[in-house]
Amino acid sequence: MGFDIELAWRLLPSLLQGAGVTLSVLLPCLLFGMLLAIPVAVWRLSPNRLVSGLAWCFSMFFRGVPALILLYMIYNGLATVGLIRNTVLWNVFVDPYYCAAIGFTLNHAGFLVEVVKGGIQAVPSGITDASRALGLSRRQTFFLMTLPMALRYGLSAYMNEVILFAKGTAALGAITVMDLLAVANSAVSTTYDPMTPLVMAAAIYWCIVQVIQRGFARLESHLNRHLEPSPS
Amino acid sequence: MGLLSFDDTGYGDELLAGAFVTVRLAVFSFLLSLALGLVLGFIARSRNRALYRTWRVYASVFMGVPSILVVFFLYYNTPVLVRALFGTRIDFSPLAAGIGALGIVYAAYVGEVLRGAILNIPSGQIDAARAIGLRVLPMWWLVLIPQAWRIALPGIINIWMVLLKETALVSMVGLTDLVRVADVAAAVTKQPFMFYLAAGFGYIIFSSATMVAARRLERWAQRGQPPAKAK
Repeated sequence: MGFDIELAWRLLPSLLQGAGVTLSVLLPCLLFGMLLAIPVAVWRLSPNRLVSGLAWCFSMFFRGVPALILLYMIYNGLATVGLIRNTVLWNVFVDPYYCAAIGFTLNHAGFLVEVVKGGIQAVPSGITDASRALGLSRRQTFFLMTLPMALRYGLSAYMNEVILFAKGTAALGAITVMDLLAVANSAVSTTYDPMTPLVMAAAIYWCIVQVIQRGFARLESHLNRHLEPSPS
Repeated sequence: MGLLSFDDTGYGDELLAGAFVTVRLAVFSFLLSLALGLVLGFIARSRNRALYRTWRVYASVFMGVPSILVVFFLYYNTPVLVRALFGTRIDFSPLAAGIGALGIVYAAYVGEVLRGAILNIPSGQIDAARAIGLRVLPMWWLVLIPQAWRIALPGIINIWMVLLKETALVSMVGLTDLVRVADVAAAVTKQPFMFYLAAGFGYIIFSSATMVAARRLERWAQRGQPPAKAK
């Protein structure tokens, strides 16, 4: 009983390796989740009822179903589909890492759709009108005006989402990926120390979350630099 | 579809029992987080530096660590701790670990929401309550809490929605909840999609149902407020 510093030091390399696995799932999912969420958020705002309805279903489903169920569905489910078994895709869905990456990307994108949508809606319509009046095309208006401003408006909601998602990756162990929590849990069963490995893992997760928070704080002050009084 | 029937051959009754465990876990951990969060909300606005520090550490730790890690921690450590303190062996179930851990973690979020809500009440309200001679307790009970709860409600509802989905993770410590039952049924029947989808829709239905109730509660809490200005 109690925290064993010597054991903690011995476990550190394998825990850091686990943290590496956690990050190797987290970072691509953040990127692909965003790439998926932006078009879906645009469809969600489309005047076409069918398009916006489909986008609504996407975000409703992937937000509503716990990530763990999505992971099981992809890892245990898709492997039984004969169509996939006989193709190259089999190599993808037999690897828990790729299954986790796909499941988490969809889950994360479901939440991001709402964040991006909120950000886009917060952009004053005068700005888009003005940029259209200046002769920018719809595409240019969206990528040069709406999207950069939506980033600023949605930043704090996005940060909360990223932090929730980073902590949510702890479900990875359920489909046999040796992430940070899974490494700590296996250390618990091999060392019979129920406390030290978990406290160490908690500390590493805490550091990851702190880095995310600091990073977003810097990004926010960078994006809002025009609002600060000029140093004179 | 026979696989979802409610007799000995189907998994309908098992799924329902699992869903009931999930609901119990969600409801009890939510109640625990509300009770703890209320205490934390008061501590958070305290002028006592030590108390405020305690709140900052609590919030930072439990908002910075995955809740499933806290579930594992409690599950492994509570029996050890109890034996060290009281010398008795206890049977600490995954359900108890889940309720305790989710309650402790989400209390931090509830505390944060309540702190914000209390800070949002105009200080004139406190001055006015003092001026008409209310003591501390009636002031809280009659003036501040009814206003704070209206401001806090959307945040609290949001916490409930997140918490409900987090309960799925507690199946990782061996709780026979909706997810675990669906997983077992999927493995036995070789029909994974049917059962995972059934479990997934269970969560969607449950959160939609509580969302409807929450909207009503919000309308009720907003009664007597001037309607929001049209954009």
